[in-house]
Amino acid sequence: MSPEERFFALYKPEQGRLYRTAWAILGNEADAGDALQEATIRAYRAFGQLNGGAAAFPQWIRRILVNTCTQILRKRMRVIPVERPEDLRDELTTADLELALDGDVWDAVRSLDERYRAVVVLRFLNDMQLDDIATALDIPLGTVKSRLHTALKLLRSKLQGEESTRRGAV
Amino acid sequence: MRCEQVRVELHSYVSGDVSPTLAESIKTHLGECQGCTREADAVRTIGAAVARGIKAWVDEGECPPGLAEQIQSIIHPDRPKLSRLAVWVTTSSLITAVAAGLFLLLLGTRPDLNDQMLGLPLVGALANRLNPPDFVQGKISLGSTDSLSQLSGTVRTFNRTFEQHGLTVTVHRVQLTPSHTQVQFSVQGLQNVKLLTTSLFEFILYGPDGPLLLHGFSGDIRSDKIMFKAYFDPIKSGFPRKFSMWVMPKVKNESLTWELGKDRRAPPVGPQASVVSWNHDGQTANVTVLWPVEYAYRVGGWKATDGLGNTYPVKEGLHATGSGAMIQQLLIEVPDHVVPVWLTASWVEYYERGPWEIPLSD
Repeated sequence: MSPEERFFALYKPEQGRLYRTAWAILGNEADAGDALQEATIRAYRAFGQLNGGAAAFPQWIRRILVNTCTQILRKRMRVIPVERPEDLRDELTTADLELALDGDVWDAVRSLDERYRAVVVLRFLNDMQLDDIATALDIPLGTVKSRLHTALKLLRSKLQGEESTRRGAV
Repeated sequence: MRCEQVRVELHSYVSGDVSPTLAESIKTHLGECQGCTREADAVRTIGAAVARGIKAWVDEGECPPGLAEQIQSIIHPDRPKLSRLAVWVTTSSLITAVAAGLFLLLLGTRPDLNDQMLGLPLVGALANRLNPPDFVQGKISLGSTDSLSQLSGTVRTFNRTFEQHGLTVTVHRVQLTPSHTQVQFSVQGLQNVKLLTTSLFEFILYGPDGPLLLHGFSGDIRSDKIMFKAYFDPIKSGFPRKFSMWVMPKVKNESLTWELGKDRRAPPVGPQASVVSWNHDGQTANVTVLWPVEYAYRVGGWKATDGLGNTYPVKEGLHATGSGAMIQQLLIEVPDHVVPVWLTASWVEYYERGPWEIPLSD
């Protein structure tokens, strides 16, 4: 089996997940396609340096993809203007409503502003530590924490809002 | 510590990701503050749900076939590389995306259009290539995996399809809850889909006592199909009898033309679209056009000519939609000595077609 065949034998089962990972981080399919293409080329070039064999491949290429995506985000975020004040009502910070989270999480996540979505995805999809997210996005750790805090409030309000809308239909 | 300081740290705290000193301070605060304790529980719950939800969504992902082939062709030495234009599109995409995003931030919103679009994220625009409007009797097929299995008393899975006019509608799942009835279904065959709005689809779920009110839907546009979740009124007893869908396919084309570098606004017919910018790098003209969002789903057929009968390839680059407008990037392969360049767009009108009807009860 040639190196190319070995690479694709390992790569193809991961391709769908990688594509969606890029989509989740970057927020749209066009950029996800670009990022996946770039990450795949990087991975293919570095394939000979992979240690750990086939078992290590999924995590290895995912790391390359996430790095590629965060590079794109860093470039994007440099030109995004100042943080906007959050339009969150106080009552949404309470935990009075019981969440009914049986789906639609992705719909809620992708509707977030990019700064919040990126932090949420890197934390909850890629299980990155907050200081690693800060490094990857080139923002202070405190900003990561405040964005995550805001993002979780927004997600709760979106998911609870959706649920209460449905309840209102009864 | 003050509540607000504690709350910013709560995710780190519940993840065990704070220093022992800070953990002790937060613990002390939680022992005295019911609000923050409830908040900590909520942070834990939402974090777990979000992690589970996103991971599940990623795990079921498929790479679009065209992208997979493109990637393989780049790596495979015997296959053609990306064209110069494609590379240019790729490298310029970020700049354009940012520009489009910033531009849309500046646009006003249109409440009347918001009403037409249900609350879930707008994911793009509907299709403009369907079959001619002759009605063909559709056929219902029951897939081999159609089990009608009752999973929990409230969920039934299906694989029932209905095909006509080149579109295949498949109902995958119906879930009954006290608060709503959810139908998961897919539509295959719609081309060029960018935006899903209620003005383009009609979904009807027939309960035991008649049609149920649609409360909203979400759509996930994939390379080969669109996955929908539609939410209807709850059903107190029984099971839905039938799911039905209508779409509005194209029946005619209209068009408008700009002289690039001169005309900024479209003629006063049809959509009031504008050329926002146009520049040339010597090989390719990069044009940005702004459309009212109500036309976003049906604009296409871009053509560039020099008025002498020569036409030049136009590629659609990135697009971005807001509640009031869509911004579209176009890349025209035209030498910079060709002036003037006439850019023509066409849009389509729609009328109702359907229904795609799928029985749900035995």
